[in-house]
Amino acid sequence: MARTKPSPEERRRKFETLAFPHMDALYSTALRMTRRRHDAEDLVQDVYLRAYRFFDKFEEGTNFKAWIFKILTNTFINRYRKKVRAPQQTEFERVEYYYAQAEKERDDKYETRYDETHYADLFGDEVSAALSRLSYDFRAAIILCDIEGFSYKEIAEIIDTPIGTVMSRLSRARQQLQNYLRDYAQREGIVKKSR
Amino acid sequence: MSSPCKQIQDQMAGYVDREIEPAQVSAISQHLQDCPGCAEEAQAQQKMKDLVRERALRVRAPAHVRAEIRRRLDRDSSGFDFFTLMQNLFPQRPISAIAVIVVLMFLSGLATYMVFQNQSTRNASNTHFVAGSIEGVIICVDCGLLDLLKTPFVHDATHRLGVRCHDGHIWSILRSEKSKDLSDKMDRHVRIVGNLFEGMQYVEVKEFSLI
Repeated sequence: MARTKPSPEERRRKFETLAFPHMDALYSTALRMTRRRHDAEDLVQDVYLRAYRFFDKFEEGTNFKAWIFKILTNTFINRYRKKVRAPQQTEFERVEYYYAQAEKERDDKYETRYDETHYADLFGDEVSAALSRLSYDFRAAIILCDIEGFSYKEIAEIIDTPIGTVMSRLSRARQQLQNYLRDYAQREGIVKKSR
Repeated sequence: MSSPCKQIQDQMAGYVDREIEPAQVSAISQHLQDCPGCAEEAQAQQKMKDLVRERALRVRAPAHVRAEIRRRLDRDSSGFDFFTLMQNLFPQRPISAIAVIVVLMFLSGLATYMVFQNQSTRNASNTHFVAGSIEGVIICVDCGLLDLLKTPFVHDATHRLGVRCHDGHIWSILRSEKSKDLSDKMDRHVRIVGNLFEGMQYVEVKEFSLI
């Protein structure tokens, strides 16, 4: 396709127009994934820089939000992949495992919990607690579908799985959420324990 | 739980989100009328979706993050930024990383000088090779590069293999019938006997053994 290359200023302006409106959504999602404010800030900055560098790869007219969210999930995975040796061990489940391990180590070491106040700011209390108990891949599915409003096709694209997997993950994630919330409600005495 | 129920439970999200074929939607609707268990599950799924949607708050990205992004984009537009690269590669101590790299550059310069001195006596060219052997670890050259460039990537069969020697040099492995056998030896220590193209840091594998 013969197209004149845009000037650097034009490229920058175009990028900002497309990318900056998604900053709050990306930051909220980064916070929900990393659960630490500092990590979320780092992640979002990284995402913007990468998106800018690879902006030429974005096909005009396609879904920019899905494109930049894919960069977000990939960047998130790559960060935690450094702990993963072999290239084939890169599925979400593995990453989640290492992430959970790293988190455990960190918590054990410093005896600090994650930035709970900030994470809880994102949801009402118990929903946030329940969501944070989901594994990363389940949490990502819920965030992308119910909060960011992506279609299954877009989610499949973003997290690189078949649509069927997106559907079964969402089904199970919601089942788990319900169980966690039931636990919570029982603990708080909102509902009676069923025998 | 009977098996049609099990199957339907896996599609429940698709039903609630209306992400399945209309025919499937009506089949499930039909089933829900006869199966109180699944009907309850469908309601619960809808409730969870609504709850997450209602309770999720959108936070604003902090102003300093926005400012930092602008600053980085400015820097990136103005060309290659060595410090940021170092900061990304070595987040703990970019300055000492730079110092290490300066030393490495000096050493590699010295090494190159010595190699050229050596080669000038042997009519060096890019196609010049010597028979020899190297020892090191099998790595994926392309994955290493892509990671360095911070590009999202997945390892695949088109990637070039290489050997990271104990002295830190990386030799790319020329594709051949013989080199195919190395593709499942990632991260293993090997000794390769073959032709070494010193100018291009390529090795043509004649034979290899695990060490």
